[in-house]
Amino acid sequence: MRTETRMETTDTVAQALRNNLRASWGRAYVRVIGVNRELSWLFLDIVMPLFSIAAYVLLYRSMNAPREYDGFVILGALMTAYWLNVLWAMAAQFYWEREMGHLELYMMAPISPMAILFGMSFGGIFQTTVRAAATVTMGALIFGVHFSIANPLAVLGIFFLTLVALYGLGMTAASLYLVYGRDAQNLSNLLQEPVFLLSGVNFPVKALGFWTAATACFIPMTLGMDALRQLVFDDKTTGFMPVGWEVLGLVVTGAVTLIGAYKALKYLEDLAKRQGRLTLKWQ
Amino acid sequence: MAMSETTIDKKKEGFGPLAPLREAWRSFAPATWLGWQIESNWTDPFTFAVFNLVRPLSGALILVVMYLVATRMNTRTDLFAQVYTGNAMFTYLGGVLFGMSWVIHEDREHYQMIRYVYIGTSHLYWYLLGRAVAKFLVTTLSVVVLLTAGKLFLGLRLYWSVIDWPYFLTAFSLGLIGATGLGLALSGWMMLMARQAATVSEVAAGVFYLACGFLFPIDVLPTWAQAVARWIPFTWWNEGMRRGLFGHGNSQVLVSLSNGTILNWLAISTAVFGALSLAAFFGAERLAKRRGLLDQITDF
Repeated sequence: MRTETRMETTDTVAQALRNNLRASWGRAYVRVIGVNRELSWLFLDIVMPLFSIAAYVLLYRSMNAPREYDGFVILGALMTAYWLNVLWAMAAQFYWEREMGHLELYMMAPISPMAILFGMSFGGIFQTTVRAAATVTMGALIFGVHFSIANPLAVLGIFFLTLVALYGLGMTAASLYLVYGRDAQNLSNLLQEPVFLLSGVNFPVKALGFWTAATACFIPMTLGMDALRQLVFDDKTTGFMPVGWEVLGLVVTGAVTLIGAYKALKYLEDLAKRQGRLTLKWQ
Repeated sequence: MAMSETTIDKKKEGFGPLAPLREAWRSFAPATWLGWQIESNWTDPFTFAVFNLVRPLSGALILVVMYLVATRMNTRTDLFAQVYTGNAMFTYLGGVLFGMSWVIHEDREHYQMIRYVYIGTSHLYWYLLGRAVAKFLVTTLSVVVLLTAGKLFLGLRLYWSVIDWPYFLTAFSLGLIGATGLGLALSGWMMLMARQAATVSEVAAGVFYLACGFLFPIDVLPTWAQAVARWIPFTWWNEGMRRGLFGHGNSQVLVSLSNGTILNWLAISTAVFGALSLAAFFGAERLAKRRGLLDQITDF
């Protein structure tokens, strides 16, 4: 009898895991397959950041800045693409899902909403990587930026850790949209330029001064950008702190944001249900 | 019966040359009010003010830090003043372009009321212009704070006594007309596309940010790009506003042109640009109507 119960439990857990994995893949699939569905969008998404890259690079050149700074702008554009994806295709996505009537379907399905968020993250990372890689390659070629990467594995590792922490943050922010509407969209709007400033997307973050830079380290992008800048250009002088410390910071923020996402999702889903706002459109 | 009701209606509305303007005002004024409500009523005034100031201030501070790390000079230079004010004035262009085109998407898919606006007595563009005014007011608040903060905290070299107000206001108004025209054209484009059309507005704003010398003189651009820039009214707008504010521009290739010539070019290019934009808007509107896209819900 006890063996049967244990087997049933194992079956149930395995089934739940299968369901959640299928849901994750289902949600990611839309974004993976959607990468080249609409070529005009792909073109715009690749070309649009090139204008801001060109504007900032030419600004630096008009001020006779060292050529290394062109590379900072390119690297900044790469991380900007992920941050914008986190804000609008992760955090704000639940808002659009509610407007389209998908949100209630997710909630009714025998899966955890976390599975949907994981799927969105995976799809979002894939989608953004395709676009950002093209933008960065073109930007680097046009402006003749030279990268001197001594340790590619370390670069990839830090990049991966940064993405985990960033998308964890996006998953946490997504839960806000279960309750809020237009006001949460404004929050996403608000988290663009201030985060670009604090994380030093176009300049070494230590230029902000010690205390501001230290406070900015609570944003995963700051740590990731600073570490990547040191490794990609093999220049420790621009770094705010040693890369090892930044890796540790990224691991901690990654764990905190993922746990935070789980807790926030539970709490805000419950709150949204109690207040009857889970499926309330046009807020 | 119907005849007498029409007569009564006409008596209420009035006749004469001002009747179409009164009709337009009936759409324009509520649209301005509605635009202001949508911009501001989602929160209390304090949060609204913070929201509208933090973003542009942060954007400006990015440039300030870039300037400081690149030049290692202080901010009391002409170069800094040109970069800082150029960026501040650009917020008008970005705000109007994106704001006007987004109205179509918002009213069509989010509030789903564009069909009611469309079947009203005035043309849709009066409604869009009204909504643009709200965006203009919010942007003006940001620009005033940006310039004041620059003057007070960064030593921005902008002096009240140097500003040539009539010249500045003329240039500023002409440029705004061009921006509004382009906003209408992008709104027309939005009628034919889903949410992604917003990217087109951002691309357009990005092109002008880059090509029209808002951040750096157009001299930095390749020769062919400088030639393109001379066809865009916002290049002349930017140069005109700088001359109005500082008494001189920041471009060596335009330095030989007199203030009057700059204004002339601005007026001519705005007229051409405005006419093309209006034609694009009406063309897109006709196409959207023929294809049944005016009130489409793309769910995207």
